[in-house]
Amino acid sequence: MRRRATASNAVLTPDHLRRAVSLPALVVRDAAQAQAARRLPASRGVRDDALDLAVGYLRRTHDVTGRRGSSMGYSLLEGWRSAYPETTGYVIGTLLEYASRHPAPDLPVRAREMGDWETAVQAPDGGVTQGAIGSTPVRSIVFNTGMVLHGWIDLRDSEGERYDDSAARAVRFLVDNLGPDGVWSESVEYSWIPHVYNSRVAWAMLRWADATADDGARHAAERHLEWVLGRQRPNGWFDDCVFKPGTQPSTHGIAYTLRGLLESQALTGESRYLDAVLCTSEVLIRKLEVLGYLPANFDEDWRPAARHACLTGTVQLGGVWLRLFQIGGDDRYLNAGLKAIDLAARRQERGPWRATRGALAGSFPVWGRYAPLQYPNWAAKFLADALMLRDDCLAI
Amino acid sequence: MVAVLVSRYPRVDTPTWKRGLASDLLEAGFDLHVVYSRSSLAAQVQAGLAEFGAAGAARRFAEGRLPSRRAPAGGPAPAQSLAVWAEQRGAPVHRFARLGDDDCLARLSELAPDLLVLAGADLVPRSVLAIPRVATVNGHYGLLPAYRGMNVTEWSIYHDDPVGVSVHVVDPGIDTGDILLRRAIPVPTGASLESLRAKHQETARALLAEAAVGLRDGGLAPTPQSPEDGRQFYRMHPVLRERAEAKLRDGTYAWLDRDVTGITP
Repeated sequence: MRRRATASNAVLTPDHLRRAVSLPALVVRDAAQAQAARRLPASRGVRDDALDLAVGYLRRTHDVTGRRGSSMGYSLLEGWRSAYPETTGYVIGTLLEYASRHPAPDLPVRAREMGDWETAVQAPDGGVTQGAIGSTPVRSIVFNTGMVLHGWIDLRDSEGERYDDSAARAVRFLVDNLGPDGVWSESVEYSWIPHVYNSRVAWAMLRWADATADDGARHAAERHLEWVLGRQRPNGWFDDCVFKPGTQPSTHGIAYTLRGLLESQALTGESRYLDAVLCTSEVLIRKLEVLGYLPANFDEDWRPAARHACLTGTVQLGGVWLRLFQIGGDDRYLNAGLKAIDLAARRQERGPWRATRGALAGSFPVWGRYAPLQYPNWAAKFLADALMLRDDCLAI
Repeated sequence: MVAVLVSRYPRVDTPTWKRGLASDLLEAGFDLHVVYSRSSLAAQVQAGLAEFGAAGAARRFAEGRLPSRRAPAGGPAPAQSLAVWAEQRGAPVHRFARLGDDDCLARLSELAPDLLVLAGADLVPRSVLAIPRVATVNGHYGLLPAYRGMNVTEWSIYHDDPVGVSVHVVDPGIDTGDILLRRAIPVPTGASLESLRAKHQETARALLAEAAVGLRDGGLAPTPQSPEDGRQFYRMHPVLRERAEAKLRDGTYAWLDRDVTGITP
């Protein structure tokens, strides 16, 4: 049964009742596990059906919006949330990758539907707005635009030039708003501050440049990446790695930054991008080993600044380390990546409740400060990505 | 000459090789003391449950505490904690919560040891490393300088490299101090990680005793190592450990049944 997400839920529905029962049960479950099972599991944390379940959740995030974008996710307080342009953009690549490995004829169709929807919601300036559809303010943001650019580029293999006009407009938006110092204008930045995790945007621009020989995009991306490198301290810490002022960097933002740098290295051969990833990874892997998990936030001396884990960040870092293994062959990164993925995958929801089955909560425990009491679509996306990488790495 | 064996979890500290090492040091004429960290019952219960599960932890607690009641007539020697063994032989045992705590530092300073010999100890803080007159030495289950860190027997097999034990001076780094002795261990067909662990323990026992005597009498030439000579490894993920074990099981480990005498002097 398909149900569209709505902003208001004035009528009591079975979903309300289910949430009313499930929320306290999940809180009790996580409270019980928080001390006993936070640390590295003694055995494997990944079950055979984990990938299928994660992709199943992504399918549902699409269904509930009427097969337009992918819902931001399921909230234990609000139910299904509205479609989210930013993350819909990078969910596209996950669905296509899964479909290239497993029989799933619906997924390329869904990916095209998402690509079409992104074109429909693209702003007149070429950018993509922050937040979920229907939220305010409506303002084009660099990062969101870059993530949707990834999706349109992902669709080029199957759809040809169908999205090239949209992608080119997005690239122009990005190039035109980048300053000579490699920093994007505050007016197009989330929270009006610069972010090193825009390295993921630079990665998208480099992909576009490779696909279309757009040297303007390439030079702009490299200019931004130079700025990112300059924001890294000798201890691996990145300045300007927060989403909002006055907060500590999360593993989610750090992993964004590292993955952008790493994939940019893979495209350009620039070894300094790789060196930066290795420097920060060394610290985080040591933290993982010593603490037995990755706290959601760290301070500038890499002291834990949270007790909860950001499951998205944990599994993203697992993916970064598996990519390091693929690129350099050092199986210590395979080891670390497998552990990080275990830590997240063992928290995947596997109960009978259809809404959240296969999903990954924002935090462990579920009430942690990162996306509290929610199951973001991007958590399932990064879990699925990491599980496919895991399959590749263990096949070597 | 005063030698202090440093270990942890006194109630469950039952490996045979540790009692053997203590015996070797006593026979060599050292004035032997044993220092324990993590001596509280809560710390030991927590560690025991994590390592062995409820039933295994209960058994080891009983064995460590009541060895004489469990010794079968004519059978193998029962598991006995090093703490009980040492006290029965007049070697003082000192128990602390953590190695770097003030009471531990004060007692160690009073003992004025020439050598600290690590036998499955916690990470040793700098304040403790500064105390012994000669050195702190450790037996590492891997061939330094290439393999530092944890599970390096497994990692060596995974990489088709020889396995062995190194005794080294402990510095503030992870297995980065001067190397005193190394010995490669032959791996026969049919070996398992478990059986190799026992071989490593016995080899470590012999090399630690040899190093202690060598440092006391002179004649040991420490070999410095630099960080870039090797890599640090962490605890191996179960999937990779299974792969290492499989190499032993299916006979594909490159050093199976090979002569290793030329690998280490």
